[in-house]
Amino acid sequence: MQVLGIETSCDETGIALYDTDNGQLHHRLYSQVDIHVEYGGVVPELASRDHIRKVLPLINEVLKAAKINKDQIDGIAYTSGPGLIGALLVGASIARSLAYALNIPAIGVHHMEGHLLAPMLCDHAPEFPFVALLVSGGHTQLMEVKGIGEYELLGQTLDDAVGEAFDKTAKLLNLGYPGGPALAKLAEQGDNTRFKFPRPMVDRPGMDFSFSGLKTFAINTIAKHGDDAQTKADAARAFEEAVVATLMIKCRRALDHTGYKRLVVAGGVSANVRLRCALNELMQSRQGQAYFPPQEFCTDNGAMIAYAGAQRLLAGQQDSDLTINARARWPMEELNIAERQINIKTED
Amino acid sequence: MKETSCKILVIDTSSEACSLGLILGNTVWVKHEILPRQQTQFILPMIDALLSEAKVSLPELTAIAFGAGPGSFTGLRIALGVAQGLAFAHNLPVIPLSNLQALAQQAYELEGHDQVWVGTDARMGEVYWNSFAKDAQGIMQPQGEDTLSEPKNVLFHPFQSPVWGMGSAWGALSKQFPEAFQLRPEFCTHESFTCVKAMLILAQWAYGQGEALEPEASEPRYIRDKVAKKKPSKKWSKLK
Repeated sequence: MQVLGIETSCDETGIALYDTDNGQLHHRLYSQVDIHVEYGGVVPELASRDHIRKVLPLINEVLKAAKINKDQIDGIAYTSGPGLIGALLVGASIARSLAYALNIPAIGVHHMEGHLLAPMLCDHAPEFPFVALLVSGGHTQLMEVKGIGEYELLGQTLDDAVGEAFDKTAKLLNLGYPGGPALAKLAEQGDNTRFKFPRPMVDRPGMDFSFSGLKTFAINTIAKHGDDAQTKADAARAFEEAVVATLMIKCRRALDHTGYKRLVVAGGVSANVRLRCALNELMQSRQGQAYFPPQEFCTDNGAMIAYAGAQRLLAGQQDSDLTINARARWPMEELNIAERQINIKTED
Repeated sequence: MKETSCKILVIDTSSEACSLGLILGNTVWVKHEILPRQQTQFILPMIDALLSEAKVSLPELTAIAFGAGPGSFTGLRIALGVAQGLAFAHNLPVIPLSNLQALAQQAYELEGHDQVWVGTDARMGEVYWNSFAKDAQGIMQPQGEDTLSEPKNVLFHPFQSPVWGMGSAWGALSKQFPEAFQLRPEFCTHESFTCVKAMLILAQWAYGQGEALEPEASEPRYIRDKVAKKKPSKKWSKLK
């Protein structure tokens, strides 16, 4: 089955074609970061305007690369939430009407389920069950994953998502937008012994996170010790160490809680090298294994949506009517196979 | 409406309505409902019902037209997104239509006005506006570009003979332009049949003029392009 995947939930247009028979994948990604950089953040209206320019041309490129015609597509998966409502509606409108016109099934996919399943696109894909750590600009969640559509939320952030904390702290250090990766780069030049940032919420039980205090701590550190380059690098290093240590402590709790030996890490922040090292070490020490998506699928992309949608289509699910589904908010726990039959109403 | 071999579907969600029109030979089909914030739920089922009532399938169509604006940004993208999806599947061209021109054409179809000033509410104290006059083929032709400005900066074409005012901005414009002796404040949402019919007439004409595009190349005409303020660029701290 050839499944077309369409991702337009934020500032990246991702299109992919996934063949369930042989695992072959073709994908294209267009990042809008250059459009938003001068605004210091994603401008939702501009994101929507750009998505509608890019979706069809990228579909054409993917079909060409895969050497198939549009009438050979067997199903269409699209990100139906969570995300920017206007941006989601672009992908959903095109996907749903294209599927209708081609007389093939369509399925709305949860963006974070896409991320969660992205490590399945590796040669060494994890088996179920596993603990999943989802870390991105919009999410920080620990999930117990028993199978596709069987997710239990173990813990989540009570304020900033971890990627958001990276970006906000980077902004305070004048590292531009989006500054998360720049902050991680700066941290490489930092001294890890100079400052020690707090590890939020590790002194109490549970698997929830809180990251908003770290940026304040970074501000105060700079205010107290000066904003010279080395101090900034040292603060960046201490910030990153605190984030990684906190995530590691909560992952350990989740592994203890579930008794699982596999940890899947996904979302934009899963590209962070220090986080990857720490979690690899953690899993080695527990005779388990950590799984990460290929670097190219850490960011938003169409491949993960095509893959996640394909699994659901193979399980016999599909959008039950012709409604164009888009939801700005969509708790992941609402996802399970039985509930998918209920239709999702559009929010605006 | 002139008989034609064109088979055109028109989709408009630029306002709170979900409006569809279909022309097959000399038969016109219209579906129109006021569906604020629910267009995404109903547009495809309405298209499906329209096509089956008219007993026509998508591949038989000549082109798909859509209200390209100005109007609700999200609404313009829903209409285009749906038009793109349908057209792309069957290699059909897409025809963008001006929603201001549609109102002018509506004034002509409805009551025979051949010189029309159109102004619609763009919110934020501004209006979208343009002037239209009938040509020999009975098409209301724009006398300039569809424009966005404050009401005080509107410069309608100075027609010599009586002018008709049309559109949702006339509350703001009527004092300034009293010579538009009759005012019609309604937007596309009323007089629906005529408006969709007007769009079908414009679509046929545009198709004949070679204005149909590949779906990949068609874009909404937002007119309002300043949608966010740029942040003053901060100096990057130099880091060794």
